[in-house]
Amino acid sequence: MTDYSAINGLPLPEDDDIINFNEAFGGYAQAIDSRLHPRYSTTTDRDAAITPAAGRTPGMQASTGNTPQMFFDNNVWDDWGAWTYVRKGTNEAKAATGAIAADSALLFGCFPNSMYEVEAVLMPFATGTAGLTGFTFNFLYGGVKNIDRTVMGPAPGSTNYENYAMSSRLWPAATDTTVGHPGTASESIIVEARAIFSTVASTTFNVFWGASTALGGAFMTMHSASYIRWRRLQP
Amino acid sequence: MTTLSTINGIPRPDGTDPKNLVDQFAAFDAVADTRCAPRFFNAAARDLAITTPVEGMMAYLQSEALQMYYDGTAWVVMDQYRLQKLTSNLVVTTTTQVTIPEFTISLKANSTYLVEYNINLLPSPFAGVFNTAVFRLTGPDDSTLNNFFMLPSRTSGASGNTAMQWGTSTTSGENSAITFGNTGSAIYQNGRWFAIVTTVGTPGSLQASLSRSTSVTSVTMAATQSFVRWNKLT
Repeated sequence: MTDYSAINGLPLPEDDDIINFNEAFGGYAQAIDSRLHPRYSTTTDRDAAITPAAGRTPGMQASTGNTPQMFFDNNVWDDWGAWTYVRKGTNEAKAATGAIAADSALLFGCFPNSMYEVEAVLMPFATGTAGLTGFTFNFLYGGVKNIDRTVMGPAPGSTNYENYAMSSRLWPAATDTTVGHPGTASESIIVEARAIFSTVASTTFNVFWGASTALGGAFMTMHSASYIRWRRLQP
Repeated sequence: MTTLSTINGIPRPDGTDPKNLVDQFAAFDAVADTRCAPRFFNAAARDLAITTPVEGMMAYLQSEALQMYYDGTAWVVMDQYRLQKLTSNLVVTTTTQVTIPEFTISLKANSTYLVEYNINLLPSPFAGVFNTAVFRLTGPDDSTLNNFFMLPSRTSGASGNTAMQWGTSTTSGENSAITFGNTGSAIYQNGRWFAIVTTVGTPGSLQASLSRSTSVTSVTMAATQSFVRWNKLT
């Protein structure tokens, strides 16, 4: 056992060794065990297996299956935390009824007992002959308005897409966010919203949106370039 | 050695192979060694061991606490981030800067971090008085801080029509304090603060602190949706 692999330093038998198969294979298996990417059902299972006594050290990796996540040891278990993007893809128009309704694409399924970070970049514009109206939206999961969120966008009442005051504030969960008046398709307003929220049950996150007031014959349209992105945080 | 494992293509002996343990181990290891998640002290040690990297290989650098992968051309840092939330409302009654414990970040030496703060300020309890706070970042003395902020003005309006202030500054160690504010309305104002901090020879920490301005007797940062998140870039 005097030779070692080039990258991971795994022990290899040599011709001049007195080869004991169990010893050779056991040494190799023990050395490679901490260099693999093991999978566990839960973080509890992970922590039961990868203990300091078992040689836990920074750089080790693991995945969990119950709330699919990839981790690496960085003195604590860090989440790789890649964003998942959900792009709108096509324009979606809703009649300006003064009520909000679920977007057809801006949604994702949530695991129970998990924490999520979500960001939305929404680009609504107005169509129709009845004039413009403010844009209203909210974040829901399980069909309930229960997510506080911070929003940056044109201030309510603004009517010009070039010169207007901004709104940068925290919105309580039960209150729908209303920002400025969208222009035409070439003058979509841009609204950025973000939130951290926790789930209890397996459910769906939705963006609900609409025009702030009812205007007969007018439509609010969500531009195809709008998107949300989300990632699961460590519990 | 005519059989390969399904996923990684690792050669495994079959009944017709000569029983040569050394050769069989070597063939097995020649593939398995390249499919692991190895750890190295630093990039030099990595490059010494992996002389011909292949796209998709991973390596962890212990001295820099970086998880990297080879993209076919170069070793690049994998997206790794951390997020810390304010755990309860922070009430500050002094004009001296108070460190926000949840917003303290440990920094490695010779590293660059991208840090973003999401800050929510409670409405002023004082009718007609702007609720102004002073937010400050402090890094190691020999570090460089590049700050970018988008914050409600210290006299931002009551209805969500907010005059904004934004800008950038580059200093050593400590940035210029920025004041932003809120009114007596029911609105919680939200501010965004970005920083790129680069450390040199010594590790340390990046601390955020808050104080009240002299015009009010207290300011409060809201626990809900106030957080810091960061990525280690190099």
